[in-house]
Amino acid sequence: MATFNKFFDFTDAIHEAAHKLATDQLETALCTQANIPVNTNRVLADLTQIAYTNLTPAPPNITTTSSTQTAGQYSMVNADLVLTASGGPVATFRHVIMFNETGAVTGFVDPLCAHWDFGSDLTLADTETLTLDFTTNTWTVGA
Amino acid sequence: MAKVIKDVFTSRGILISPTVRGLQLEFHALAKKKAIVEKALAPARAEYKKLRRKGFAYCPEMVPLMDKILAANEVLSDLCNGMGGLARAIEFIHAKAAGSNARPMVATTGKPE
Repeated sequence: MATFNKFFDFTDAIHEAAHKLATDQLETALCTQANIPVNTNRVLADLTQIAYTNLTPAPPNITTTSSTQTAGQYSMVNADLVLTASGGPVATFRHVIMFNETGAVTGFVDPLCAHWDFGSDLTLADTETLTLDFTTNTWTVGA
Repeated sequence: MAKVIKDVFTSRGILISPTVRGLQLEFHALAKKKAIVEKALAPARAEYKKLRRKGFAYCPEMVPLMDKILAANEVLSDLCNGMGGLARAIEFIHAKAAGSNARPMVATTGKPE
């Protein structure tokens, strides 16, 4: 199980209209252990990503299944995302980052949401896949 | 005459059995459908992004775009979860055969509060 790690600024960005999570496009970024994401990172430009050669889908969009509240508890639900090496291997990575590719306020583009640690380096060989299973809820707020 | 189905091995020595091949074909069929939906949605997404990047959280022009995105997301979710199920099954079989270093990454739920 990969533990949810929030970027600190995400809590602020949610309340400052940088995110509109039901319809904004969430996307995945990948980083190595040498370029480990830290919770104080704010936007995608703060990260050093791997080269995405041979990775499909490109871009690795995350589909939002629902973004609703029940009895005061907000839940974000995302569909599985399968990353596939196609035509050759994908560069080694370890950390999976979720960011908002659509979200923006002035001077704040591609805000970061959360990151997960795979636990070890991973190099996908040609045709291999990595399934990102966001379980029942990706995150909840309140209640 | 009975159909002869041979197991084949990838360069990594991973068994591609008829079962895995079947799962892979189903996976690729769903991936094709997903690509078609995403292509159809692309203009609406691009227009929506343009408005968001102008700083709009909401404006009347966004309403039909949001409707399209939400409707497409329902279809995409089903396709993505179908692909996820198939990929997990293939990854499991490959892991059993050893040699594959991929395994599903289960992202635990968080609380950004």
